[in-house]
Amino acid sequence: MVPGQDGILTHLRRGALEYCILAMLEVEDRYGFDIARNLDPLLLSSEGTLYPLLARLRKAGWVQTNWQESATGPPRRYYRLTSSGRETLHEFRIAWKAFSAAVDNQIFGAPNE
Amino acid sequence: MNSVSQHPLVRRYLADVEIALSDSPPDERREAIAGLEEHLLSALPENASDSDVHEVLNRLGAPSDLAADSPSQRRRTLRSALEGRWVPVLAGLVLVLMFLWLAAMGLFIESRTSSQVCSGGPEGTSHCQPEQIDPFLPRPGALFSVFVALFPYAIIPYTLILASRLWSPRARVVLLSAIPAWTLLVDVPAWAAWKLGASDSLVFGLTQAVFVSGILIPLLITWQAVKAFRKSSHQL
Repeated sequence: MVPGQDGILTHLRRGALEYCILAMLEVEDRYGFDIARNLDPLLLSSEGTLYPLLARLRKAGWVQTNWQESATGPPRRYYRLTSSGRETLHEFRIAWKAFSAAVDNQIFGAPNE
Repeated sequence: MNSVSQHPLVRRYLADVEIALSDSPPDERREAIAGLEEHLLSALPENASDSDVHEVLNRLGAPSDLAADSPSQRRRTLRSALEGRWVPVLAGLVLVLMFLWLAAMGLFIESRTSSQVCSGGPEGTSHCQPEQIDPFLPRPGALFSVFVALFPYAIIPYTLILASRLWSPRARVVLLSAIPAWTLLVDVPAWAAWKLGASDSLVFGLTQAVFVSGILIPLLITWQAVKAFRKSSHQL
């Protein structure tokens, strides 16, 4: 059976999406809806998958939340990167660089000298 | 309070999410649902139209897919195996067949006991008793005993209904109790009449009315099975 692009992407997202969220929060604190609408749709298959993931990130201690008033409507839960989240992201960047280079090498051939 | 979180589509969506995430720890589930609620409040204006709500829910994705991008929750547990389409189909089919068998037996019992034996009492009154023709199918409690005899077959749908997350706790109670409750309701008036010796046409009529109301049971079972079918996951 050929899995098709959707199936392949689902597998790939599972390993990478949480770090993409951490990277997004490294720049500034954001609330859920804001994260959902600013992540590349290729990374977030459907917006709802974000919320179980955010809950897990908080439980892992990589992000923390605080409530902030909004100009329109009820207060919002903002997510902020913690220091352990920052370290995790740092580790992921190193690992990913090596990993993605290795994958590229393997499937597209070594870069021409 | 807020009209968005009270919207029926939103409430049903969140209830389905609650079921879909029931494998994750309760605190994470609560937080995910709170996040979704906040998302909906941000995405939708107050008094949003149904089509607006539809679109936002569409972008959120199917409740059963919500844990798809999370690494740890993809274990295919036995419980998620019980969310396939075959579950409501099999459970619904066996329950309806059971009901049909019970109804046929009920009609059979009815036909053998509806001839009434009347004995002339003193002073010209007459007293009628349903005639007991078949000693193996005594009328009082007859239908419930048929249900008890059929129970081994009921184990399959009952186990599926209890174990699968496709049904809410309330739907489970309704599905599990409908058939036995109906047999008891049919039997009890006859039993009481027999016990009290007061066999009236009223009691007989009541029994028949309850019996006829049984037509609602296959409809109820089908409706609950269809609801569960819609929630079930696309893979087997």
